[in-house]
Amino acid sequence: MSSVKLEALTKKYGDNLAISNLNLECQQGEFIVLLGRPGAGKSTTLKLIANIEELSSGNIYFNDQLINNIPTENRNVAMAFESYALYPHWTVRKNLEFPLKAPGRNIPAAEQEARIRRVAELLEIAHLLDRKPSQLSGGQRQRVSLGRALVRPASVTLLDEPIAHLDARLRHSLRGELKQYQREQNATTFYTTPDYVEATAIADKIAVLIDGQVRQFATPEVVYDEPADIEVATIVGDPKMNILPLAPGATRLEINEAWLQLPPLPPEAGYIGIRPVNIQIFENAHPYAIRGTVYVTEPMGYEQVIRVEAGEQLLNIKTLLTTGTFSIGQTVWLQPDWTTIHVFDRSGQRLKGGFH
Amino acid sequence: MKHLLIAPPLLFFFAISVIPLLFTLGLSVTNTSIGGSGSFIGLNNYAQLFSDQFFLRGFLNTILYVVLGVTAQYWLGLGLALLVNSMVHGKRLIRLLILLPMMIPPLIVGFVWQTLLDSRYGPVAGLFTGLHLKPVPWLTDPTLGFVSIVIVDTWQWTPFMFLLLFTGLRTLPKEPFEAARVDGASSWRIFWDHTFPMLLPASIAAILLRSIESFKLFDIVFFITGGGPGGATNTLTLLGYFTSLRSGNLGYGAAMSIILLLTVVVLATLILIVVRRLMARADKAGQQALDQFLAEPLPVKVA
Amino acid sequence: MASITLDKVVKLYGKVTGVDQISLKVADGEFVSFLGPSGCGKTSTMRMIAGLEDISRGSIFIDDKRVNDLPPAGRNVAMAFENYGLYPQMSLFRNIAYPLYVRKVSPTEVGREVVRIARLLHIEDLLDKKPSDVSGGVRQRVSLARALVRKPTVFLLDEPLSHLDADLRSSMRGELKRLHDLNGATTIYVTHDQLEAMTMSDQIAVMNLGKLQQVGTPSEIFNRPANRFVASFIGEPAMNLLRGRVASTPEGVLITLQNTPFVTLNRETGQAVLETARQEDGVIEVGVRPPDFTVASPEKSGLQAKVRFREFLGETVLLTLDTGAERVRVVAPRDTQARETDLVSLVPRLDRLHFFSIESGMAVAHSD
Repeated sequence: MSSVKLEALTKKYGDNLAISNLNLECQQGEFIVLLGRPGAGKSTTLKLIANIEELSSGNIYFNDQLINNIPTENRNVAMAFESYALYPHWTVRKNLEFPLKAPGRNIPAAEQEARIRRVAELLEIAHLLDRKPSQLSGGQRQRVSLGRALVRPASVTLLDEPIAHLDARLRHSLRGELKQYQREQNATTFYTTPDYVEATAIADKIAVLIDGQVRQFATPEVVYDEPADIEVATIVGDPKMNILPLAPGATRLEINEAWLQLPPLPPEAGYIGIRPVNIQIFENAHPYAIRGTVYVTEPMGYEQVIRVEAGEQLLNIKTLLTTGTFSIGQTVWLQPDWTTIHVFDRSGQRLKGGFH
Repeated sequence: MKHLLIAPPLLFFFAISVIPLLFTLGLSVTNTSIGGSGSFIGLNNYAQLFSDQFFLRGFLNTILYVVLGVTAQYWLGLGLALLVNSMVHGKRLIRLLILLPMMIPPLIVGFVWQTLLDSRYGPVAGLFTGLHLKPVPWLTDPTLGFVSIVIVDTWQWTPFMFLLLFTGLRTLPKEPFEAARVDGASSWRIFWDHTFPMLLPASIAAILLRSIESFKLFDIVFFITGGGPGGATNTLTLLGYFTSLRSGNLGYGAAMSIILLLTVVVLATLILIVVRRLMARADKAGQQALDQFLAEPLPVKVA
Repeated sequence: MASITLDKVVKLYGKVTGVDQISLKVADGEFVSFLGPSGCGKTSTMRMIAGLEDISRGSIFIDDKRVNDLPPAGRNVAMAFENYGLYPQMSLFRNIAYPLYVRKVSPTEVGREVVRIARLLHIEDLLDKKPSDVSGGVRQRVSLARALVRKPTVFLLDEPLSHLDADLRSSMRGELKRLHDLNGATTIYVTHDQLEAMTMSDQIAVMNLGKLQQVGTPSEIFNRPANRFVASFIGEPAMNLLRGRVASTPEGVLITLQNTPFVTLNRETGQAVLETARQEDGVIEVGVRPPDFTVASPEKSGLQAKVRFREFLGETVLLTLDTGAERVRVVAPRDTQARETDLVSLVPRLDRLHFFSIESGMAVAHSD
């Protein structure tokens, strides 16, 4: 239950820079999600915090104390590995018990039992306590691994894609329960995932990792509404935010011999971003709309995603199924809602302020 | 510091492997005999070897045993492995039966085959007589004696090939073969395009192991023909044994061992090189075909 | 191209029934998904169509020709394997070219076709690599390319997108759908991902425990699920299934949840619900999808619930609520005021309710 400060962390594998100058600071008891694509450096960051990997440079503080030179076993971190790393010759119960029995913990037997019960029920593995890992499915093993990280009080809990291999029902229900449990324990948690929905759903704060750097560190709402740059904008949201390049000094957007007047934009504007739900689609010619051709349609229950080829662009539009039935190759008209656009400069950085 | 830990095993290896070798090498340039001390005679032993008819015959025999025996064992073993691998029921039992010859001690093998093939009292001779055929001098004719040994060696060691290749087959992934069937390849094509190349590493290991073993062929020859008639079925190890321990000519025998060692090393290396070449050539052929295809004009826009 | 007919197909593994009496018709040019959780028999069924597994009982027809005894090569099907099934000793180029090569297609044409398909799947720069030198995502696309390079009677695709990362999966979904739209090839697609099935298919065959649960268009499967399993397997987050008591009143058929009136159904819908409930202690299972609840202040009539979690999903929030006996999930607009521990009333959309028999799990009525 510590506050954590990561200061200019760098990790090199040979010439390969996995983490470069990563900074992050969180309060005690916060639930931090590291969101990023595979290879962005999420797991490496956790391993650096646990000291499973050695820092190339930088400083790590728990409760404002520098811990760079403290070995893993003395950092009091709990970790769940994506690869489970269970002890194969022990039962589930023994696997869960192990972190509680480590020297110096002195947890009374009754409390040990209570903690194991609680975690096993939380993760719906109470009926599996006497089995060995080899008798469990992949999803069950992942929950045992998660349980082993949650069962004891730790300064920091590190969870590496802890629910990635579970089915959809469990993923949804566990997400909330997990956060609730960590809040009760007042545990500081670092949680990695490539799935933005998981991140926005569970996080107090999201750190968006790209190429080993934190591009944005903010609440889910802020990351979604005010993404720091184009890459962050396209990681958060499905389908992806549409990004349209602007000619220097452009006052209008020209696509397929039609044009739309743009709202007044600052001169340094290089791109505008617009989310798929903020473009209206029409089957018939429509004023103040650009023309496009349906590339593919994807119905999903009550909603549908339509990809439309408009000039050089492939635009994603998300709308209700009742909006209409579209087929591949059909001509459609699109009307963006300018009040919802995001504006980025030529280097992809967000430009602050409203532009409508 | 870390490297210190590997010092004891290294020393042990040196003691049991390198020292005896050096000792043999030393012995081979002397005229030492059992019970007497020898003096340095340079490469005389080696020079003498190459005019020694017994040695040359033994050398040629050894190479022929290896080439004929290992070839027969490989193809028979591969055939059996493919057959057993495609069986649905009874795999375990068949595998056990096939492996039996390998588990019989050479002494028994030699005795049994000697009895079987004896030209006067053996059941094979009896069978021939029963069929009003002339008894065949399996063991006493120089050529037939040689053939008999290849047959017995193959009988005993095909199971070993089978075991390695069968294990190799079982570890191959299943999907590529299913994919090939769906892709429409015939069984013959599947064997040559996929099974054989994918099994190549196992094949190389099996052939190499068997070749090295075959160079040291001793027991079967010793028990069945004793190297006779007149040295016609002799092998280098057998000859070395007779020279060193029966005749007590230790220096000369040591020189034979060194030649045998060199032959094994050279041939094993050659086998490895040849097989690697073959694999590389197959790769290169595929590469050239690719280059040729890619030189074709390509459709500009792909739908 | 061809149609495929399955007639009471059974697959036995020893004493275990892997596939249980599946009958199904795939029309010429249709894209049909076999959808279900792992172990439901979908892959076994596909493998029987391919000829890689024996058919224990029943028949499979391709274009009215019984193919039970034909080897895979005789059925002219193309298949992409979930675990790729690539030829490890061959370059990616030769892997993709192989089906054409065994058919003795001319080298020029092989080259053209391989490169065309490789470009479509964005692997044209990797053709000289070996399977062991490339990532799982690339291998999966090579497996797909090897199937697509041919002109078979039917494409069989076994979880062809499962090993791709989210971005690529989403764009490949579109590309596959377009490809099917353009070449009109009969396609059978095995997946455990309901979203893939929903977005790509003409028809979905939902399977569970070796049995066919429902066959229909994505819209039919989503809006009129045949049973409890289909209802909860399709749609994310899953449909809420709640126990309700059924009573006949002068206004219609009244459903009560947690002792408070929930909805009153008109006579038409209500009749079937009433009849089922009569045989099952007056109880029925009510299915409501998470977006089909409106969150209202607690004095409004509806299902009373307390917010347990509020999760931000971008355009929407996902609320997890306790009703006392049950847990309910609701997807609401992000401006919904309800916070954690708030009491609210959940008002369902009356035209989107589903009713299932408690005992059999079969759908009794849909209120659309």
